Parts: sequence; C-alpha cells; structure tokens
Amino acid sequence: MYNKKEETVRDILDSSSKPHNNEQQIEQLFGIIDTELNKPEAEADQDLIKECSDYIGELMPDDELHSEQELLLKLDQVKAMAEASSADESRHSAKKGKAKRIVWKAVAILAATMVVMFATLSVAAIKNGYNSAWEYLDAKISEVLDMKFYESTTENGITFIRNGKSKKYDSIEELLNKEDLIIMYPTVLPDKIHIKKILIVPRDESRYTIAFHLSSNDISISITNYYQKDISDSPNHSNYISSDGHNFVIIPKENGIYQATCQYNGFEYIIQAPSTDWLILIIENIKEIKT
Amino acid sequence: MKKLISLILAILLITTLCFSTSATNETDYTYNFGEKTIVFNSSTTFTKAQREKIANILNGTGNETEVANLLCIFGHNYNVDHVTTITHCASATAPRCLEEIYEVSVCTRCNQTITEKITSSYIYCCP
Repeated sequence: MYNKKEETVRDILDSSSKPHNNEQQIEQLFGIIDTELNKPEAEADQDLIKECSDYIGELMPDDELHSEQELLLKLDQVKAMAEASSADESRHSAKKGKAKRIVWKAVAILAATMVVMFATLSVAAIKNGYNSAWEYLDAKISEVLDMKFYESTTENGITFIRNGKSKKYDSIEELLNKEDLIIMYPTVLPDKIHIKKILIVPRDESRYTIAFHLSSNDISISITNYYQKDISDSPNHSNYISSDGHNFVIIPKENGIYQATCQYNGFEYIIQAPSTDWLILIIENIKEIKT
Repeated sequence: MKKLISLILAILLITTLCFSTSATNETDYTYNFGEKTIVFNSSTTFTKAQREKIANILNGTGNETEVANLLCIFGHNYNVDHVTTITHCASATAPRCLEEIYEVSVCTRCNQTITEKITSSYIYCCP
C-alpha cells in the first residue's frame, strides 16, 4: 500500500486526495500504525511506526483547553455524582436498619424457642421424676455421651433364668428390681460385649451363683451369695482397685487372664478379663441397684 | 463243683466291674475324673444316663454327636440346665482351681447334647 522506502509519512498524507484536518490526519496515522502492528514482527516496519507516532505528537495540541460550556458540563457531572453518592448513603443506612431489624427478630425467635424448650423440658423432667429441667437435661446429656463411647450392656432385652424358668426383661435394671436382686451390676462392657442372660445356678439349698452369660467368652462375670475366703489376705502380687468405695483385688493368672474379686454386702463379685484396662473399665462403671 | 466256681468267679467279676463303675460317681450328681469334678444341681432335670453322658462330654471323653432322629427333622426339643465343672490345681498360684459354669442342652428326642460355657472363675479350693 505504501512504499515507505521512497515516501515519508508526511508525503503520504499530503498526497491523499481527501481533505483532512489534524484530527483526520491523526486518525489516518493511527490506521497506519495499526496496519503495521497487525503484521508479523519481522515484517512490521518499526521506523514507519516511530515516524507515525512522532507525527501524531506534532499534530496533537500542546495543551487541552476547555471552553466555559465544557466546564459547566463537567460541574454538572460532579453535582450528579455527589447526588448519586448521597442516594447510595441513604440506601446503605436503610439496609443497615433492615439488618438491625433482622437481628432483633432472630433474637426474639431464639428467646421464644428457649422459653418453649425450657417449658417442655420442665414438663418432661417432672413426668420422669426429676427435680428440675436442668437435672433432666444433665441426665439426658450424660446418657447420650455414654452411648457415644460405649454400647448398651444389653441388646434386645435380657433373659433371666431361675429354677429352669425363663423370663425376658427390657433392661438389667428392670430385671434386678423385679427379681429382687440387690447386687451391683456392670453398666459398661468393652468391645461391644453385651449381657445375653442372667442365670441363678444353685450350689446347695442356700448358696447360689448369679452367672452373667455374655456375648463373648473373653469376659466372665459371676456373683456368689457367699464369700469363699477373706480376700484381705490376698497374695502379695495382687493389686487393689477402689471404685465407689468398693475394693477389688486383681490377681494376674498364668494364662494371661486377670481376675478381680470384691466382697460387698454378702455377695462376692468375680470378674475375669484378658487385660487390666478392661477390668478397670468394668469396675469403674459398676453400679449398685437403687431400691 | 466247676459250675459253682465259675458262677462265683462270674459274680466276683461283675461285682468288681460294678465297683469300678461306681468309683467315678461319688454321688449321682457329682462326677470325678482325676483333676476334674463335674457337679449337677440336685434339682437337675437331666436323667442319670444323660448326666453320665454330659459328664463325659465336659471331661472331654465323650461325644456330643448323636444319631439323627426323624422326629427332629424340623428341630430339636431341648431340655436346658446348668452344670458346674471344677478343674483342680489349674493354676500354680492361689486361687488355684478353675470353676466353670456350662449351659447344657439335651434334646429329649434324639439326645443331641450341646454345651456352652457361661462363666469361669478361679476359686480357693485346693491349697
């Protein structure tokens, strides 16, 4: 299009047949630069681009002076912006007010919910024999926390066998209360072991053993209604664990079994487990039935 | 004369056999096998024959399997009771004797016998 070797930019513009002022010339020069820049880098004429840009610099006015009308227009624009900003501010404060109202509404709903919950808990507490809602809530939370770490000691009820006759109970507490067995009982067993049955095995006319039939043979729990011997003179290698005022004597046996024995209220409790950890877990969670 | 001597010898032999059999049975409810004692409740529902069989099973000298009975094709009719075994001097340190309670189920029709250990505990029995 242009023979830039022979003609300068000025010549190109002068030779143009179109009548042109500075603005048109600048536009034409930008066109030339644009054309050159669109070419691959190797083909683009850097000298021509530089010449064009220099010429654009010459054609541009030294400083841009604004007319009075332009200034007034600018002033109007500033005023309009200020008005818009103040409108934004009022919108923002309106939003703030709305947010405050939402917070108060939430607080009111929360308070109402708390009142309803407290009233419900109070009714439930009275119905279940608790003194206050807090006491009831505390008992329920403890129950939930216990369930979180350990399984129930009974699963699908518990069978009681005495004199060849069997009865089924929902829980060990119900069984002990209804069968009038005033004994301590395990409330926690490790490794998901649970109590399947409780049997009364007579030894003679007056003596008997209460045998806990568990879901695993790893643990054994039996209670006799007599003492074999005074356990206070147990061997030197035995250890004592005290739980809730009851002393358990722990004796390790050769086959890796640990046996804990406690004598309390006419009953002798014998617990066997494969580790002291399990024994301690069971002993620490032994409870006495409330009469 | 020879017949009389044969008869006396036969009676003596039978009497000796009877004594040897009763030597394992101290009472009808307690069975001793060396270091093992098997004790049935005096109110047990097992018959004498069943007790002897159970005692042998718990001692490890009997067999739990029985010939199948056609009457039991749809299930057994179990008689369940509890038996205590004491293994004397099972431990070197006191308490030395191991007492175990078993639940024993005997089918009333085919005599199939099932034993399941319920509890075990070391007791002060032998010094």
